[in-house]
Formats: sequence, C-alpha cells, structure tokens
Amino acid sequence: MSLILFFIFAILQSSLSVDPSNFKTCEQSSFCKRCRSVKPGQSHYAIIPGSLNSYSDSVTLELVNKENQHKFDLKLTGLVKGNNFRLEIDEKQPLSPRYRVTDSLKETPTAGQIKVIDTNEQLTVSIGPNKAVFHSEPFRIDFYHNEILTTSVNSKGLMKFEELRSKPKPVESSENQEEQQPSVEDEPGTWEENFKSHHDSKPKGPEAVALDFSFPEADILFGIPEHADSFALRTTHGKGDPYRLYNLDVFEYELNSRMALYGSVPVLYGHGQRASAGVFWNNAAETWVDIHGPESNVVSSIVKFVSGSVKSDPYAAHFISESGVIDVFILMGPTPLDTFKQYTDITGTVPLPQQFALAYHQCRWNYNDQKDVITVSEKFDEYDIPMDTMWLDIEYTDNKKYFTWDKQKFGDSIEMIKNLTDLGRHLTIIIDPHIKREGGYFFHDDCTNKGYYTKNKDNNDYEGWCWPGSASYPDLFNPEVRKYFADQYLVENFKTYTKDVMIWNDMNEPSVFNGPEVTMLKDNLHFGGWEHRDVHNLYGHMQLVSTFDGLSRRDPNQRPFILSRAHFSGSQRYAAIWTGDNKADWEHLEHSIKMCLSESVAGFSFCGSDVGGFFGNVEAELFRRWYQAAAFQPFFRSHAHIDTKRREPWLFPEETRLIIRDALRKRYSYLPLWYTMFYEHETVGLPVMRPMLAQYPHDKDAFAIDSQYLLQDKLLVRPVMQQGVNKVDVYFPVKDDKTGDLWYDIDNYQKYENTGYISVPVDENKIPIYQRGGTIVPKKERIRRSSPLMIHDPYTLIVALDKNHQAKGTLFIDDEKSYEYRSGKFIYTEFTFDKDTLRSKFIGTPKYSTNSWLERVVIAGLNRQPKQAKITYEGKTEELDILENAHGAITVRKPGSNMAKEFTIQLIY
Amino acid sequence: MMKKEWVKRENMYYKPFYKQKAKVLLLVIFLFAIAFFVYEIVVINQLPMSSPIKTTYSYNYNNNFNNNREPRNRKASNSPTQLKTDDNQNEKSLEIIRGIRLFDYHAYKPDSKNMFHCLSDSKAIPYSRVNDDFCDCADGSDEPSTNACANGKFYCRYQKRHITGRGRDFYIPSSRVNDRVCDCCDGSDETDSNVNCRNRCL
Repeated sequence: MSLILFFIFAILQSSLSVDPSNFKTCEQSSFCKRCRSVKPGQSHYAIIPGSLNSYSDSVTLELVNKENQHKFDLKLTGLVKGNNFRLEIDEKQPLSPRYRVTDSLKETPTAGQIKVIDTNEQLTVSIGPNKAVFHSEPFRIDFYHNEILTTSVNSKGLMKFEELRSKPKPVESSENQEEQQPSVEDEPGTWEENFKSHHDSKPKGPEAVALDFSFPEADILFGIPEHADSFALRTTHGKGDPYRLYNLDVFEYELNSRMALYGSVPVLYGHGQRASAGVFWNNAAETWVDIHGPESNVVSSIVKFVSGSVKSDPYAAHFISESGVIDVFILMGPTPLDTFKQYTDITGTVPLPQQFALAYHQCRWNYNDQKDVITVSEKFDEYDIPMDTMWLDIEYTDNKKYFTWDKQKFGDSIEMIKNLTDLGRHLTIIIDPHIKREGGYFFHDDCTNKGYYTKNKDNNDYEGWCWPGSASYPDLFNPEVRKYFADQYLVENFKTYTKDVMIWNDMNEPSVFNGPEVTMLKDNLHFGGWEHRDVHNLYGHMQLVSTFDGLSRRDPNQRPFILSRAHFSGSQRYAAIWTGDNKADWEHLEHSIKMCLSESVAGFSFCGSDVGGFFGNVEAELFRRWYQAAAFQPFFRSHAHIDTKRREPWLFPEETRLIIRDALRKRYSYLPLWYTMFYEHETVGLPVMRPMLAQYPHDKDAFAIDSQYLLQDKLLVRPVMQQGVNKVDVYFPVKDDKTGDLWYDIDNYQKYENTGYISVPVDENKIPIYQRGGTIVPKKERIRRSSPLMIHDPYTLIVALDKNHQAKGTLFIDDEKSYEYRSGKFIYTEFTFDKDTLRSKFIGTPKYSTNSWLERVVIAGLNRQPKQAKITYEGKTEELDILENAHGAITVRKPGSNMAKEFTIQLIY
Repeated sequence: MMKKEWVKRENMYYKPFYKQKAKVLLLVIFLFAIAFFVYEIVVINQLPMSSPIKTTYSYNYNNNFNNNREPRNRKASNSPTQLKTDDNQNEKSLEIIRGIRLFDYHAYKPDSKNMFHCLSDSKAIPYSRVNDDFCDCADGSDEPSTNACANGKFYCRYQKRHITGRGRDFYIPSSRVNDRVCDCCDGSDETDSNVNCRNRCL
C-alpha cells in the first residue's frame, strides 16, 4: 500500500516540476533571435565625423547605422564617484519617446570633470586614472584603467539598435504588397508575436537594443542574478540559451539553468588578476545576456602563450533588451571591492535593518489560525529555541483580499500580535499586488472607480488569474496609485494590525497564472502610456517603493522591514530578498549560497533561501544541515509549502532538534557582528557576504569557488552541504604575497596556517567556520528567546591574531530600531590589538548611551599564556583574571567596562 | 465423625494489647508518620514562599536604561542577591539567594575558605564570584540570580506544591532572568524596576 502511495507521489512529483516549454527560449523570443544572429566583426555603426560636442562633464556624438543611415545620439558622461562612465545611446529622432529607467538609481549620479583629447585619429575622454578611447568606424569604445584595457564596448560588433518604425498595414490585396511592406526581410514575430495561446500585438513593432562588452583582463565573469546557477557565468554563446533576465514566477525551478527567475539585476563583472571591471545595463525590459568565452583550443592557447598576456578572444557579454534605450554604466574598478562599491554608489545599499530582521524568522504556508501562531511561539520557548518573527502567508486573509483578516481564524489579530510583541517578537504578513475582483472589497472598488488598475491594450482594466481567482493589478507606476497602496498600510486604515507588523511582498513579478509565461501581457499599458514590455522588470520594484513609503509613514521611528521576491537594480534600498520557491534537496541547499553570492555582489546583501526547501518534505539530516548553513547567511527564514508536513524543529527527533537549536543559538551569538556588518554595508557599500575573489583578487584558484564565502573579511563559511559526509574540503586562500592568512576554527580556536584545500573532519554538530587572523569579532553570548531582549546584554570580543600578533575590528551599537543613528545617536568603536594590548577607540563621537558592557575577551593566537591582564578606563586600573581556553586561546575574565567608554586591556606575563 | 466441642467464651485466654507486637509496631509507625507530617507542615509554613515576602536587593537596579553604569559596581561587595522575609520585628530573617532551589540552600553557603563549590563538579570558586554576573561554573550554578550562564536555571520563588511539600521544582532558563518578560508567576525573575510583574500565582 505504502509502495503504491509512494509511486503515486513520485509520479505527482515529477509531473509537478517545472515545464521548461512554458517559458520562452531565445529562439522563441523574436527580438533575442534577431539580435543574437548579428554576425560579429561586421558592425554597421560608425561615429559621424565632426559630430563631437564637448562639455565639462560629458561629450556627445552622433552615430549612424550605415545600412539605413538612421542616426543616433551618444552621450558619454564622467561620474565623480569611482571615476566611472555612463554611456547613453538613443535615437536622434525616434517616432515616439523610448523608455529610460530612472527608478533603479539612488539619485542622478553626479557628473565629474572630464578631459577631452581629440586628435585626428582618435578621441580620448578621461576622468581620474580612467579613460575612454573612441574608434569611429566601426564604432567602438575602449575603457582603460591606468593604461590597462579592461572593458571594450562593441568590440565584437554585435551592437543593434532597432529604430522605431510605423507598423505596416495588414496586407489587403496583392497589388500594394510591395509599398506596404518595405522591409520584406522582417521575419515572422517581428511585428507581432505568439507564444502558446498568447498574442502580443507589438503596437510599436521591433525596438530591441543590444550591445556587447569585452573584458580583456577577465578570467571570470559573474553577476546578472537571479539564476539558479553557479556563481561564475558559463559560456552560453553556441552552447544553448543565454542568461535571461525577466522577472518570472517559475514553479519548481530547475538548477544549473540560465532560465529567468523572480528577480533581474543587470550588472555583470569581469575579473582577472590584474583588474576588475563591470557594466550595469540599466534597462527594465526583457533582457538576455549571451556570454562569449575565450577560445579554448590548442592553437589559441599557444598563441596566447607566445604573445604573452594578451588574450586572443576575451570573455564578453552580449546584452540584448527588447525595448528602451542603451544606458550603461561602465564600472572601472580596479579591484572587485571597488567595482561592487561603484555599483552601490549608483543604485544604493541595503539600509541598516532593525536587529530582529537579522535574527531568525519562522514561516510556513500557512499557520492555520491565531492559536496556531501563539502555540508555535510558545513551543519555541518550551524548547528554549530563539525565534524572532512569525510569518503569515496568504491564508490569513479573508479569501485572499489583502488588508483583511479571515474572521473565523484570526478574529482577534490584535491580541495575537500582542502575544508576540510581549516576548519581543514580531509578525510579518504577506501583501501581494494582485487584487481580488470582488464588488464590495474596498481596494477593488477604489481601484475600479479611480482607474488605478493596469490596463490592457484596449485601455480596459486588465484581468488576470491569481490566488484570489480573477484579479487585477494596480498600476504601481502611477505615483497616485503608489500613494493609495501605501496609505493602506497606515494603522488608521488597516485597523486590525499594529505598527510592529512587517510586510512580505510576494508574487510581484507580477505573477499571473493565466498570462504568458505566468506573467502579464507585454502590450498592457501603464501610467504615461508605457507598455508593460518597457517596464516589466520594475513592477515588483515599484511595489516596494510603495510599501516602503507606507511603512515609513505608519511609524517614522521604526525602520521598515520588507521581504520581496521580485527585484531589480535598486530594490535593495527597500527590501530583503529570498531565492523563491526552492526544493527540499541537497543541491538546492548548495544553490542557496551560489545564488545569494551573485545577489550579494549585485547590491542585495540581505539575501537568503527558504530553510528546509519550500517544496517537498525535508528529512532530518538535510534539515539540520540547512539550518547550519542558513545560520550564517544574511536573511534566515524557514518556510514550507502548504502540502508539506509540518516541520517545526520539535517535530523532529531530539538529536535533530538540539542541533537546530545549537545552530540558531550560534546565529544569535553573532548578531552584533551581523548588525555591525550591515551598518558598514549601508555606509560603505561593500557586500556583507563576499565571494573569495573579493578579498583575494590574485588567487586564481579561488575565483570560481561558490561552496564557501566570506562574511566581510572576517569569517570564512563553508557549511556542510552533502549527505552523510564526515569531512569537507575547505579552501584557504592565498594572498598577494603568495602566503596565506591564519584562520581559527570559531568553535575551538584551532589554527590553520596552510593554503589551498584542506580536508576538515565534521560531525553532525559541526559548521566549519573560520575567523581570519587579524580580525576582532563582537558577539553576545547570552542567548535570549528573541533578539530585542538582548539589547542590554554584555558583549564578548573574539580577537584572532595574525602572524604579527595584531588584529582589529569594529562594533556598532544603537537602539536597533529607529532612524536616530542617522543623526549620530550610535556608538561606533574600533578595536585594535597590538603589542599585547587591546584598545578601543571611538569612530566619531558616541551620542548613544548603553547599559551593555564588556563581558569577556577571547584571544587566540598568542605564543605564551599571560598571567594576568589589567584594564584601564576612565583613569581607573583594575586587575583581571585570565582563564584558559581551548587550543591555547585565553579568556580575559570580565573586563566589565561600559561599551560607551574607551578602554585599554593589557596582558601581563 | 467427631463430635463438635463447644468452648465457653469466658474460658479463652486473652493476650493483652501490649503483648501484640505487630499491632504495637503498626501503631508506633502510624504515630511517627503523623508526627512527621506535622513537623513537615510546620517547617514548610516557616519557609518564605508561603508567606508574603518583600524582596530586597543588595544592589539597586537602575530605572533608566540609558544611564551609563559600570556592571562591576552593580554588585555590592561579597553578598549575593538576597531575599529577606518581610518580618521586620524579627531580627533573625531567613536569607535565600534568589533563583536557587531550596534543596540547595546549604550548598550556597561559603565553605571555611570562603569558597563556593559548583553544584555538579568539584570546581571551587571564590564565594565573591557567586552572582557576580559572570559565569564561572560549567553547570551554571554560580549564577543562580543572574542571566550570565547559558545553561543556568532560575528557580522561581513561588513553587506550587502540595501541602506536604511534594511537587516538581519549577524553573526557567537563566536567559529569561531580567529579559523584561515576566515568566515566574510571582515575577521573581524580573528585578528590573521598569518591569512590573503582576502576581499570577494564585
């Protein structure tokens, strides 16, 4: 019987996973096919001689397509920050305006002073150490950093800019066929397109833009999330479909795939040992990125060897978008960290979250009723497992009508929320953008009466199908609609929740169950007359703008927390993201790191995956390992599909429960580090979670590693992600001077000095994590049931010494909740350890006061054991005891000084 | 068949009660038991838990969290956090360290060298380090009144018991001491004066 059930289940499972034929290939997408078929090395585009106009911060030129003499305006602007360049190309006189994306940008980037040298042969535009050299025919721009050519635009000659044309009238008779159809070469799909049962009327016809970028210095390309694929981009040219960027709700997505997923972040980096560079393709239409790899045959490698470092055929990325203009930022590096920062300078960083958002989230589709929510929260206390946020998926609503509660199950929502907040916990509820079409539902009535819905091509309210059944989608590109949506979050409008409830925006690709590729029709119309085609990848982003505005106005003293599935460049300014509907299997666990690494370098430092996997039942070992891995990823939430078995930790055998509890407690002990890292991310703009190459840009062997990562430059995280293993291979990277760092196991301070892969034994409890010698990490070792209850608790400092017996680190303290830190109400301390002395020194003047004090200092890497220590603060000196710790590390017992005071601790031998 | 012989009642020998050993033994045991229960009841009634108690602390927890204080100054010399029975007339007041199990009452007294012995191992620490807000014992027993120990236990003052004293000791993890949530029904886990715990015991 069970065998039969198993087979039925297996059949169901296999029939449930993604059907790739529901989604377009490049071949099925007319514009991608057209642009990809452009032959390299035969570019028809040229600079018109004498068209140069120079300004203090930019130059303009005219381009011509020599095939049809169509003219284009080109503008190259130098940017102050990072000495980068912005390249814009548009038609000189388009039939109608073409869409330009501005919402992705944090602000209009400040232009900087450029230097223009125009000789007869070539035009050079330089800013700082960087320069752009123009080549007229065929059109090409080479970008140099300190005379190193790092990025070359249109060097493959794949540029294509389809000028807007009037649509030919449908053929009525054979006589006028010739004059009505001037472009007989237009292949089917150019003027209108069908996919499955869906028709795209393409009122403006073909309007694609495409351009290629070569990275002569690069040994690896990475970026352009979101794909369920390796961190390093694969060569796609001539090997199947390009990477696709088109926000889609993909049911049970495939791994190792270039298919589009929920988010699109069109930034791509090329990195090599000499230099790093990147391009940000600021276009929100459907985009494909074709990756050209270096030739790997014997002849070319001999040529490469003979000719030195010059690569015959470098890595290149061919960006292809369906509409809009060419608007590209060239990120000039020269190191990976510089390049990441240059990107966040343009699109913004993740604002410092409230402390609780960095702690653990407990979610499920669905917690059935208010009693269920309270019981689960109580159970966490019963088993003494810390937890900060309970989540409610769609079933809490009254028939999927957002901003309402199911009266039967959540009749006393305020009481339920109070039950959580009394314990320092929070509640997050889901608000999706699809609105149930039901008369009497205020949201639907308002949107209908005021014309707030997205329109179809005939200018009627577009109707799709989603969770509520028939649904329509507010046109969030209209500022008035955004304000209306935002207003609903105010407690005076949504009376049955409180200002401590945070928001989850899901299905915002937007997901339309009966639409083409599970999304909206491309010829739908938005505010300003723009087609959905032009703005698709921004739809979710605009919902986030609205939600963020609503939550900010709901309580100006509380930083909003929003989780989003869809995202575009710049969405990181408003929301955390997760990798969507993954599956309970080991390979998906591995992909949680690969995907978040790609997101992290693309601005989304606040990234995580559903712990345990969304689809399918999770077995105990996988569940334990997933908790261990996720405990060291930025966004930490357990989530599960409604059809899966309940999986709260206590439903597993005791051993599993205790391992999960242990992983969670580890996460909570490192919360001060997470909080400090996110403060530094906001202010500095560097990713929290970093690929190895970010800190070790010369270690070629480390470039493509995506099974381990760094948290800043402090911790190396290599979770166990295989079933039944008793050892894992950890890669300890090589520095520029060919030596390695020292690394200390965070559990027992065991020291690792060698570089390269080292096999490390693991048991069921082990999360292989290493603190780099030379760093000081702040912790709190009193674990409470939720993080807000830990605010006044004392700190522990872990000092890991480098080969010179030095270390440094930072700690950020504020109220963990409000925006007061932006007016200076914080304590930001730098700790340095040198010559047997630990010193704390404030960065800036601390304007925040705290009850927290220094509980202990652990020092790893000393040669001999000190007898004693003494602390000096506020002119007082006191003697402190030294306690022995594992592997020769020592603990300085109870220094006791308040964290708002500078101190010195000296070791005495 | 034998003829039945009837014996007259008056002719039977009666054993005096004091010679019936089993009965006497039973009676003695019974009396002892009664005495024991009476004793127990008296003792239990003398314990602080069933009489109204006012808590006094050797240090004063500050109202204002934003006030800088040094934790080493929080603790007054060598005396642990204490409870005193609210018997102002009585000079001899019973002192019980907050958060310990009554069973361990004697274990929380300094030995002759003024040391404290961790409850579940032989480690000894200076008595001044009991409740000094730093965890020294592996079992967390040196910090019964604070939240310093990850594996510590805090025994609420009010223990719901049968009149005979039977019942399991009720405790909470040390991490719930002074976390601004009232866990013990008598609020004995929260000494932060900005948290007012309602007595929910009865």
